[in-house]
Amino acid sequence: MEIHAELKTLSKMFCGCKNDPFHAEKPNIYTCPVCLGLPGALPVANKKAIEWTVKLGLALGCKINLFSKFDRKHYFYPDLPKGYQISQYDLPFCYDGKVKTSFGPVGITRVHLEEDTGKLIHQKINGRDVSLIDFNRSSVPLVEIVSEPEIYSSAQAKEYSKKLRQIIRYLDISDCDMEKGGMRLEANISLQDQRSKIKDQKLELPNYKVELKNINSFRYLERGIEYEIERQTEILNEGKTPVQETRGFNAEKNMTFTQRIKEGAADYRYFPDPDLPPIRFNEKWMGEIKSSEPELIDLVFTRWEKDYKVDRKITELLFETAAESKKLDEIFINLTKQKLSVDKFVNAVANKKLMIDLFVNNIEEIVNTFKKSVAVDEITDEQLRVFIDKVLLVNQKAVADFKSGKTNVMNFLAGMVMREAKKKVEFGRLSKLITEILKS
Amino acid sequence: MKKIITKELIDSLSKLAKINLTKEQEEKYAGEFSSIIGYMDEIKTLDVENIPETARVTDEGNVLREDKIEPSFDQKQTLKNSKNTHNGYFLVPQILKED
Repeated sequence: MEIHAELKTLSKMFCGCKNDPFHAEKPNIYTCPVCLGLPGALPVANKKAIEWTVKLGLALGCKINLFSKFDRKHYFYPDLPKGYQISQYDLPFCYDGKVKTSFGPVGITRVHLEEDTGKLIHQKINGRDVSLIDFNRSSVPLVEIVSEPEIYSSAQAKEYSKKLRQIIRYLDISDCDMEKGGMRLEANISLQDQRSKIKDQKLELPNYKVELKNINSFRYLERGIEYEIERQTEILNEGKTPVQETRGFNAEKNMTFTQRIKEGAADYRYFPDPDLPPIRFNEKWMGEIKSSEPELIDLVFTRWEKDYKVDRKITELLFETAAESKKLDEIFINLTKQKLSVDKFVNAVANKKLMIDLFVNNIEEIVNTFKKSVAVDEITDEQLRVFIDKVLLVNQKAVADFKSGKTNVMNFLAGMVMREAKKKVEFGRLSKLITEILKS
Repeated sequence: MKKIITKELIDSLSKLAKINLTKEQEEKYAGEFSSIIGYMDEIKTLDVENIPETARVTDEGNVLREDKIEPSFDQKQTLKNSKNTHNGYFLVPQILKED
């Protein structure tokens, strides 16, 4: 997988133009000689974008190149006015990391920083097929995360991609808006007969790969890969090799289509960008970046599971950023102090039974609202039995239903008793009392 | 002098650079490029044993900017030198087509 995410710095990667392509009122208003690729313009790299890339690399367990640089990648396309994209070739900021998935670990080959291109809109104007170009997005900082070829199914590709988005959002360095193109997924797909593995022991990669590009949803990624597996299987079964090319995914037809036949890697004619001096990380700077690194998101979930017996699948739904997870931590400590169940709390929030905004309301308000919602009124069994008798008497049908095995009418009966008593009573206690009476 | 740069290489370079060359030009440039590249052979005779490899001529590094927004061109300025525009966009012939 190759995943791109636009960093949400205030300004662009190599100039001071505003980095806000999705909210720009008009096309071509956040532009200057640098991001328009005018001759003689001098790019200067955005320090924050570099630091965020390293932060991401550290979160993915990567090693950091203490000496790094930017290179020019040459190709012609109307959205790339300079004729080259500033990227990183042989010295990416980060390399050799790992991401856990339920199917097994996926190695991270590299994380590098580059500039985004302008945006093309394809239209018919006065009967002519044209492309319109908006350079508001040109030179927006873009991180690219490249994985090792260690993903073995569409489901794993989806899980891996989702996990990356979770990590990036947690670091609060990108919105990862898939629909708008703030995060883009590319899958390189090739198939291999597993029998060749047994024969050779070592599995060598197939001699072709098909690049599935411009995917803007996890579902389309999964479906696109599934389609490619079928398509390539058919070709391979005929004894042929699929063409090395870039393909897109058509969601309506639910199939992939040829976009362009791939040029070889050497054709990009990479070389170090002479406009941009190299980057050296000294101990002090690296220390600053490391100290800004939040606790790893996986560790947060493990800690919560251990301390509060809460399910990761639930807590995952509650927050995105590290700052938000810190607030949850404080809420959990507070709940525990007041002997309230954290597990019940997170479930109530996730199921929207507790209508509060975790990151707007203050902790005291949140804890008190939850406390109120689980509070039970004082009432003796004796008093309750009076109300139960009354409810059972006027709800003969429900009683009959219960006796014939429809035990779910208990919810209804318990609700009626509480309404009759105008008290909030713990459900378990109430259902036990009702059952006793019904059976007596 | 041996021809280091072949006509085929000139052909592929001109394609990458999107410059159309005539047969005569290809022939001519193959020769000229060969003599330029051939000059490197002369440079190779220099003793650089104790000189470290570099892609840069200065020791400069970490020339960075803080993440601050600076004024941009307005749309009019941006499009000023373009012959083909449409509603604030640059306009070019369409290049991506689905099969």
